[in-house]
Amino acid sequence: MRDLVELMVKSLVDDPDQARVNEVSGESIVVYEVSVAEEDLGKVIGKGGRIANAMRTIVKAASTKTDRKATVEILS
Amino acid sequence: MEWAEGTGKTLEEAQQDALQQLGASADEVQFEVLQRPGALGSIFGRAEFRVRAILEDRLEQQEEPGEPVAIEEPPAEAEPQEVPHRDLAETARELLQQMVDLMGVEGTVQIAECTDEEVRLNVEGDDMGLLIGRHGATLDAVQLVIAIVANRRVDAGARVIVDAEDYRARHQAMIESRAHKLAEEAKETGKEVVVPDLKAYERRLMHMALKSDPEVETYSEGEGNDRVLVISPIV
Repeated sequence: MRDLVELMVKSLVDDPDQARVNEVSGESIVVYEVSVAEEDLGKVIGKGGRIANAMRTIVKAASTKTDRKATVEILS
Repeated sequence: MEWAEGTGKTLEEAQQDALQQLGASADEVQFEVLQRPGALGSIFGRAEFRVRAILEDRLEQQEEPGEPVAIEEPPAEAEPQEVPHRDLAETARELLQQMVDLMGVEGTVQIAECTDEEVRLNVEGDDMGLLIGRHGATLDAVQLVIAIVANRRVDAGARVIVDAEDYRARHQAMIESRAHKLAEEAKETGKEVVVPDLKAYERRLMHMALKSDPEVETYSEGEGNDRVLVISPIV
């Protein structure tokens, strides 16, 4: 799942070397914390959060195959 | 100092443009990249490179301490290429296949259609319900990400559609038949039928489906999530 988030984030940004995905595991949920170069924030959030929401939807769907829910948070 | 600025869709084009203005050849000048197409530029088709070509001998003369001329060697992977949509389709297909695999979905991505305006990918396999999601929400999300990334990597400016087991085609047929059914209802009762909770493209499909029906007219009203389509009988 982390690979999925990383693929999307690194593909979206201009500076993939500065993109990080941190996995925070809870009991019933896994949160993927995304941090990117400041100039790239808009590229992973999108207008009105469209892109971030799309990533959340995708990760949530994929997580139905695992034992825990998963979501994405963009750190700024 | 003698220099010229050139623009172009690729770095080479921009450099050639600058060289032509100077009347110089590539080994006589140093290039400085002033502007690269950003991601947004690519999406809206305004992607352009801007370079400055500086004649070498002038360059040496003006070499003062503390004022180095910034000469940037462009990284090769940043160059957008002028390519037909087949490359866009192939890039999008590969990316989608990677995403499908990482989502844990058993599916194979195929290029279903590749026209001037549109690249259409279709995923076939098990688990397509997972990929489609409720009311196609997951499919829409995947399509958004694929379209942005593919159009960025290949500056083609074509629409990228992601479908699974022809869900979108079937959904379109369903929306259209629903439109006709509601139109009949409007005619029978003589009252307006209000259709809420449609996506923008679904409203468009309904408008189009009923355009040829002389007994009803359609319009939309309201804003944002409250926007509704109204089918109104003509009496």
